[in-house]
Parts: sequence; C-alpha cells; structure tokens
Amino acid sequence: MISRLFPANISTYGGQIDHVIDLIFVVIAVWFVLAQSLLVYFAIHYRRKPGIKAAFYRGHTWRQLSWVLVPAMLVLACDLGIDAAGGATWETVKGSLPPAAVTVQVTGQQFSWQFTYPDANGQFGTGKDLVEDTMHVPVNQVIHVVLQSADVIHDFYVPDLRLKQDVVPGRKITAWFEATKTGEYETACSQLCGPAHFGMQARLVVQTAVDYAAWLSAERSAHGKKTAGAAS
Amino acid sequence: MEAQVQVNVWPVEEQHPAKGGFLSNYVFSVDHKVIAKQYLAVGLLMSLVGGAMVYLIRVQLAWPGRPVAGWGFIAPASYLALVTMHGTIMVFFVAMPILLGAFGNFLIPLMIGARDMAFPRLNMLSVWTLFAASLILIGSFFTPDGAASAGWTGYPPLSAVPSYTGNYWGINLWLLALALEFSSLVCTTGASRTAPRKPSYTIPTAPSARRSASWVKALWVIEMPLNSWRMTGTFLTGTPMS
Repeated sequence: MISRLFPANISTYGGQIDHVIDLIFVVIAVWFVLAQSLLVYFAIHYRRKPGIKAAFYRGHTWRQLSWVLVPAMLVLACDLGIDAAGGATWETVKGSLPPAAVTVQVTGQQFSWQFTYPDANGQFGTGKDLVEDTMHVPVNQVIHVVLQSADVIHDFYVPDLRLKQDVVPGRKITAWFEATKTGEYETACSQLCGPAHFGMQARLVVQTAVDYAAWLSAERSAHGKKTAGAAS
Repeated sequence: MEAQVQVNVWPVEEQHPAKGGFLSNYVFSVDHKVIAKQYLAVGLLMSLVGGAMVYLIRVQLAWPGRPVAGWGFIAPASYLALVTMHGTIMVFFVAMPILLGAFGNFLIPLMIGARDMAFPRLNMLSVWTLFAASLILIGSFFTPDGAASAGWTGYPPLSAVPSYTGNYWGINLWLLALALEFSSLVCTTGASRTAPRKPSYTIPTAPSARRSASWVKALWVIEMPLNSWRMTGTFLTGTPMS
C-alpha cells in the first residue's frame, strides 16, 4: 500500500501508524473512485438530448435530502471505523508515556534544533547540561523528548520514526519513541517557521547502548574541559 | 408529500431595475445577476494570478536552485511569500467569492423567487470592496520587504512579529486585504439572507440547496464581522487584538 513509499520504519510504533495510514488511503481511494465515477456517469447520462426539455421541478425534500444524508452517514461510519481502528495507535503514541531510559530536551528556534542532555546525575539545569546540535540516542530504549520553542511554532519531525509533534512557544510538550535500528537519520521542522524553515534540519544518530555511553562520556569530558578552560 | 407549487410571478416591471447607461448597467450595477458575474470575473482573474504562483512553486520544486522562467531565481523568502499568497488567493479570493458571491448572488434570488437582494447598493459596494482588496493583496508584492510569508493560516507568533518573517508592510497589507474581503462577503451574504421572498415561498418548501446556503450565511454573519474587526484592529494598532 501507500506506506511502501515511505522511508523504512525504525520505531516500535511506526508499523501501527503505517497501518492506519494505509487504512485511510484505502477508504479514501474507494470513495474517490465511487464519487468520480458517479459524477462522470451523471454528466453523460443526463446530458442535453434532443426531445428532452428541462422543467421546473421543486423536488421532493426527503428524496433530495437522502442524497445528502445517506453519503454523510456512510462517510461518518468510515470515519468512526478509522477512529476505532486507529484509537489504540493514538493511545500508544500520544496517549501514553512509557518510563524513559533517556530524556532529551529539544529546543526549536529559528532555524535550528538544540538537543540538551542532563548532567551525569540525570538532572537538567545544573549548569552541567550538555548542549548538542546532533541528537544521539541508544537503540531499543524508550527516549523522552521534551519539546520547547524559543520563538515561533515549530514541529519536531523524524520521518523514519513516524514521530511528528508540534513545538509551541510557552509550553513543554513531551513525546516519546523507541528506535529499533541503529543508523543516521534526519530530523526536520514540519511547521512553516520563517524564511529559512527549509534548512531547519538536524541529524539523529541511533547507536548501540555501548556506543551511546561512550559518546556521552566523551562529550561530557570535552564539555567539562571547555567550561574549565573558560572559567580559568 | 409533494410541496404545493403556487405560481406567483412578480410583474415584469418589478423584476429588474430600469435600464440605464453602460456604467450603471455593467460597472456600478445593482442587479444581482450582474453583481454575480462581477464576483465571478474577479474570482476567475484572481485564479489566474494564483495559478501563475503555483506554476512558479512547482517548477521551483521540480528544478531547485535553477531560475524559473517568468520570475528568475526564487529565493527562500520569496518562495514562502508565493506559497502564502497562493493559499490566500485560492481560498479567500477565488473559492469564497465564486461560491458565495457569484453562485449565491445569482441563484438564491432565482431559487426563492425574489426580485433581487434586499440591499442592492450594499451588494454593489461589496463587489467593489472585493476588487479593492484584490488590488491591495497583489500590491503587497511591491512593498520593500515583499508580500506576506507567514503561511495562509498566519499562525502567530510567526505572523505577529515582523522580525520573525522579515515582512512588515507585506503582512499588514495582507491583513487589510483579508479584512476587506471578509467585509465584502459579509455584506453580500447579509444582503441575500434577507432577500424579499415571493409571497408563496415558505421555509418548508425551500430547496435544500437554498436551505444549506441559509445556514452558511447565518454562520458567516455571526463569525465574520468579528474576524474582520480583529483584523482591521490589528492592522490599525499594529498589535494583535484579542
């Protein structure tokens, strides 16, 4: 189906999201073909013909309304069906927040992403936070991203994870994901945020737990030296 | 149950205003059919402008970084201005004027058997307000920092703070054009909401299309003056009104 065109999924819930997208695609495709065929059929069948003259016809209210109400009910039924099928997915992705192994603060600003890691004790705001422009996360662990904006509305989007969440100034929004495959991926902003919106990208590096720990300690010691150098 | 149809036609001399000169017949006309065609003309002209923009957007996407015939190199800020203006034009200056202004003005009086709209001069004023709004919107491209580029949805704070987008006059003229466009459609829908009916016309026998149009108009009259007022206020004071 349509989800074959997407980049390969690398998150635990991405498969569910792809299923919902495929379901919506099928429902819409059926309605599209049906509605357009009817339109073409009516246009040809009721075209102007010799011997048939248009007449004033007030119409029958219920027969007219049935052409509106019956399709509306069918569309509503499809909609509720999609809701029923997708409800569990929504609950997984947006409704629940499994306990985090790693928490990263993600700040969007015109026109870059900033990834803040806590100090060695897992605390933010102690002055020993690690600020990075590339996001590193361990594979197969639940990651919380705490999204904040410094200026306008942004949207944190990682296509490979099927994760997309608006970043609203004045609010802290927590989203989560669990990557299942190591590699380098792209994060983007998917909410028009100004002239250089197109360039608001960053890299997401999914590593094994060992590689991640090594990267984190290397960054911490480099950062420690930098701040020590700045202080002296 | 078939509705009973009573044939009750207005006398011919009451159906249309007396013929005047070219100006009063075709330019500053108060006839709902002429006004409907003027709405249609403005809408179709603006669809050509919006269509030209989509050509620029699509060619730019197909061959990024290369100059586009008819414009030249499209810088990121100009690209966003084109996207914003395309959305604004297609929604507010093509779809709405044609659906409400043209079809509403042309069909509703005929469907309910009315002679014309209730306020023909207000109706005429509204089509010319739309024309002025279109000129202002197109004119915003020629301001020093270009047309509005905050998206047709205009989400604040991006659209509210000039330094975020780099447009000051562009976004102000965009607001003014939208405020005028909304006022125009409020006037014309308000006029048709109260169009004098043929005596035999009663609500239960109204065609369903006419009834859905009534609902649309009732909602417009409730919602749009508020929108328009806020936009005008934002334009005049330079700060978003709440």
